[in-house]
Amino acid sequence: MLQLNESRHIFFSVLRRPKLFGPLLIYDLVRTARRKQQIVLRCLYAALLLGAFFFVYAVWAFNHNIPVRDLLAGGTADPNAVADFSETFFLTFLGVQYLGVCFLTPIWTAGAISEEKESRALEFLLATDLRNREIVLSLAVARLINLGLVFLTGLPFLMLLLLLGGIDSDLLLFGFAVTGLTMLSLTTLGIVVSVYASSPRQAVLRTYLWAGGYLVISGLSWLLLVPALGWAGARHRAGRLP
Amino acid sequence: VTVENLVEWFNAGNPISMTVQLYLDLQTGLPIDKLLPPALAGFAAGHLLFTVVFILWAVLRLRAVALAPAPGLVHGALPLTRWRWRPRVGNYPMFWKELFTAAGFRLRRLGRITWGVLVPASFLPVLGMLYYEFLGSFDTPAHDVALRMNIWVRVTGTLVACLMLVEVALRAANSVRGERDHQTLDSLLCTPLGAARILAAKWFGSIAGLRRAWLWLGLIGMVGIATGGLDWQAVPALILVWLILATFFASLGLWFSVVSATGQRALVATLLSMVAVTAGHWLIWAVALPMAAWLGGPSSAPDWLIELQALGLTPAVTFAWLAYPPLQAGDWATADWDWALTPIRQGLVCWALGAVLVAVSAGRRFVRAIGPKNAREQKGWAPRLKTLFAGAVPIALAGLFLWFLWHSDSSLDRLRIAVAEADRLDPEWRLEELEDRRKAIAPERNSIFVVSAVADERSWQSVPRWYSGKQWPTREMEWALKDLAPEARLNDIQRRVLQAGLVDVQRALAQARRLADFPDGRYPIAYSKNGVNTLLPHVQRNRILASLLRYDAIWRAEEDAADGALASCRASLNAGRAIGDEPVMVSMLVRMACRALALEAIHRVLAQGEPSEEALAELQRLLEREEAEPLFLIAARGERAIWDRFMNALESGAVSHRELVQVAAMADCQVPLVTHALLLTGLTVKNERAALLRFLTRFVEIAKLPAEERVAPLHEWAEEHKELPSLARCLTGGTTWKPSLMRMADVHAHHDALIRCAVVTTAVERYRRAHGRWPDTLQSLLPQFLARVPKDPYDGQPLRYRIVSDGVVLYSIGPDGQDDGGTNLTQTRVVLRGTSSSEGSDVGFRLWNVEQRRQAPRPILDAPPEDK
Repeated sequence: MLQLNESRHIFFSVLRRPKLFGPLLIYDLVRTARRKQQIVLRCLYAALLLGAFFFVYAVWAFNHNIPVRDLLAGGTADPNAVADFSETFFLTFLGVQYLGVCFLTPIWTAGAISEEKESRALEFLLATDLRNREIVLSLAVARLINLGLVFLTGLPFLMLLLLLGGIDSDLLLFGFAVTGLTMLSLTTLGIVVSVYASSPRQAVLRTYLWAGGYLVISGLSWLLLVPALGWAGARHRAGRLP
Repeated sequence: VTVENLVEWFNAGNPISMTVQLYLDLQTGLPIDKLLPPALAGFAAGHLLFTVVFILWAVLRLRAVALAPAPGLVHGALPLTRWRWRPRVGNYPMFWKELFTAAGFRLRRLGRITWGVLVPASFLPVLGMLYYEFLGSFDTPAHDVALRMNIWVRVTGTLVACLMLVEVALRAANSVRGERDHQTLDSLLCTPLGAARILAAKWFGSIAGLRRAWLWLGLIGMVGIATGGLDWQAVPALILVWLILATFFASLGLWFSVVSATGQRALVATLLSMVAVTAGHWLIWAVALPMAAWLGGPSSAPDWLIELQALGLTPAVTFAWLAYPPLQAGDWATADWDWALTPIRQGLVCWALGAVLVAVSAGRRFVRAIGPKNAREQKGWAPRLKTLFAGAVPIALAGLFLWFLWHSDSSLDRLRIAVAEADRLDPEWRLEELEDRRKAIAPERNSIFVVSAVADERSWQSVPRWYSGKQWPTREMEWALKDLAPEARLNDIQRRVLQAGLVDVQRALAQARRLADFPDGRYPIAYSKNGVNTLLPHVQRNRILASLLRYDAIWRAEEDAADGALASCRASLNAGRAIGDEPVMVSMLVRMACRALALEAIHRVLAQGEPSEEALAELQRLLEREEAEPLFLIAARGERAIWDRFMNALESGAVSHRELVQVAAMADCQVPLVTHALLLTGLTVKNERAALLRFLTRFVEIAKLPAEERVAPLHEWAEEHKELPSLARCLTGGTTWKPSLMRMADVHAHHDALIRCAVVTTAVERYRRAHGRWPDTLQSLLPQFLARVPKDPYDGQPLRYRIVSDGVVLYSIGPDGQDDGGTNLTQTRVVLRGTSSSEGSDVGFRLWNVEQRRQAPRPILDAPPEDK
């Protein structure tokens, strides 16, 4: 019996260690979720999507010469035209979502550690037996989850849109994967910048600068070499494309 | 590993290059489902790598960085910064603190690397372009290089300017909140500093603390100017726009900094508000347009609103638009750019007003937050006044300067637009150019020498209107020969008076008759410096000469010397033509008066006898030439040129205010005191000049229209007069100038009608002589006697012609627009006096059957004038 207990203890000890997240995860998750901005952000994001929806709809109705009144009065639209609208809005949705992620992620996450610094709570955190990884990962994941919830506001839109057809499932997965990966890398960039920054403002701005700098430099290196290497053709010739 | 591999790996996480790469790959014809997995794989690899590296980095460095000693000047700063010069704290410690200790980011290693990468990276495109240009083909035209550089300036400069605005807003958002978070606000409030000074310093510091960024933007501007990508004249406008936007965003950040509970909230709220105010207004249309379409309304927003939103309320577009290259500098002077400048100005006014409102609100919230007692300066009244004065004076001066720049800029733009419009619609419109465009006449053909010869005659010396207390023509002549019936001969009194009057000036008359063979003339004019005071002593002499020749024609017709009488009529007409095409309204009015005298004489001569075919043909040719002269247009152009010269002289200071008052008195108006005060500042002259020039250009364009199309635009133009600025309205709105122009338009239409009737009348008389009967219609005259039937200037129809029992009538329907059958023809002298719009009368000529000419004399109905 004793042996069994010891084995169980060892087993759970192994499971517990190395601990990735400490109590800080739940604390920060709840604390940030209780912020009013969370709700305001969701509302704003939903309003933005609604605005984009109306805009795409207006352009689509104008291009296809379909008055809204006719549709509301029970008129029907060509399924191909509806699919066309659905596809256009889907692409707009992905664009808005991606831009939203690029804009909001640094604001939401880059202040994680520097806020603690500014309120002079980081010294207390470091005085506890929490490990560095627990602090960093807890704060990062808590922010990431809350930010992800903001962007999940757009899901009902997308679900309704799927009913209209015209959306490529591969593209859907691709879009969400790209958005998620960008959010992840920007969050971690924000966290590492936050480690060094003395205030949230500095952290946010530096995150933007780093991300922007990467985009500019890598993009320029690519642009400058495209004419020299004839890249698209080279990739194709090299058989690296399927 | 090739360069391509390296660049590809480096770009693995770049969404833009991935999208472009996908697009390029799609062009090869491959299906998208085959392209997405490899693209996603590369992107995911890049981002996951970044994620792992960053997380590891953060985990490893967290404790070390957090527990490291705080960097100070000695330990963390570069060696140079230890010796950096700073001014003394002085009387404005808060401003000093914001500018020199809290300015910008404290750049540590990371910040320096960021700057070290971003700033050179922004110049990479320039290096690339120069590389391809100078090491490549060398054959790109210079203006192409300039345009490419302009694209770089517009993109990079706009990005940097917008980043600076973000930095301004974020600095302001952290200002008060930062003090609270660092628990230093309480210390600040313990000092004698008041709330206003603290907030003002925070506000000012958030704008003025961007020294490095200014350097960056300045470098971009200098490179742009040096390479022809940016016009130097655009720089002040760009700075002004940036400053106004910066004041707004600083106020916005300050407001959130005051009202937010945490620094993070202030930051997020400021950034979101920035996005909302700079781009959020576009979302309105996303909702409004479908609604409008639903309600059956317009499917697009009004142009002016879209332009205001794009150019005025979207800062990035404003910057990009204003950063024009020198190649386009000339285009900004044209009216085509007015549509863009107006919304930019309106937008800037909105931003400035918004800045004031938000800043005031932030101040109130701050005072409420810290308590009114803490908000007051803890000093006596004298230092407070001093502070207030020290603060208010620079702000007032800066405001005045900005207003001056704004006003000067907009007035200059308006003037440029007005000048460009005049250049485009009517090239060579300035007074010197008009003078150069006047017809050159050889001295042997110039009639002014004949006029001078007449003036040299001793008898003519007595002619000027007052001589030894004697007027010429005498009152008796005017009384006896007034309102003569054309077909009736002179009675004894009239013969006696006329003969006596002509005997006095017979030698001058002999010279004057020579004018019949001199149809062209041109006087030299010495224009005054301001144009308006130009003296024209010759014009009145010509008018008296035309009058003299009219009396001569009456006398010769009475003596049954019809050909000689017609020669006097031609001479009378040529007396007016000697004035030529002087671009002055007075000259043209006198010329029209001479024309009226000659036409009246022609009417009488044709009613009194039968001139020969040669005399009639010669007269008709002269009348046709005279009819083709655009006297009204010449006068309109001249007035525009003269008033523009006057306003130009006023602007340059060549016209004193005393002279202005004199000119205004000539125009029968009084310049308001406020206008004088504004003129003294020199701010309003350009605007006045621009408005007057546009107003007169419109008048010239109306003068170009055929007489029958002028009436409605002319009345609209007269209504526009009310919208002129005060000085222009005053100078042109008295009892003389505008009424004179309006009356001239009226009289000119009458003269057009009369002279066209005179041409046709002469042709009809020639037809009668050739065929022994009146023509049935005017078409019968074509083409032997008349090239075409002229139009009635009042309705655009052919002139009316009617055979009556005792002759024929040729007429126009007149200003009342009603055809009265030519039964009540307006007399030409009445037209001359400008009372031509009498109801129920047509304008034209009569010809009598030969047997009904030279009818019995009629008595004079009026009483003779009394001697004074």
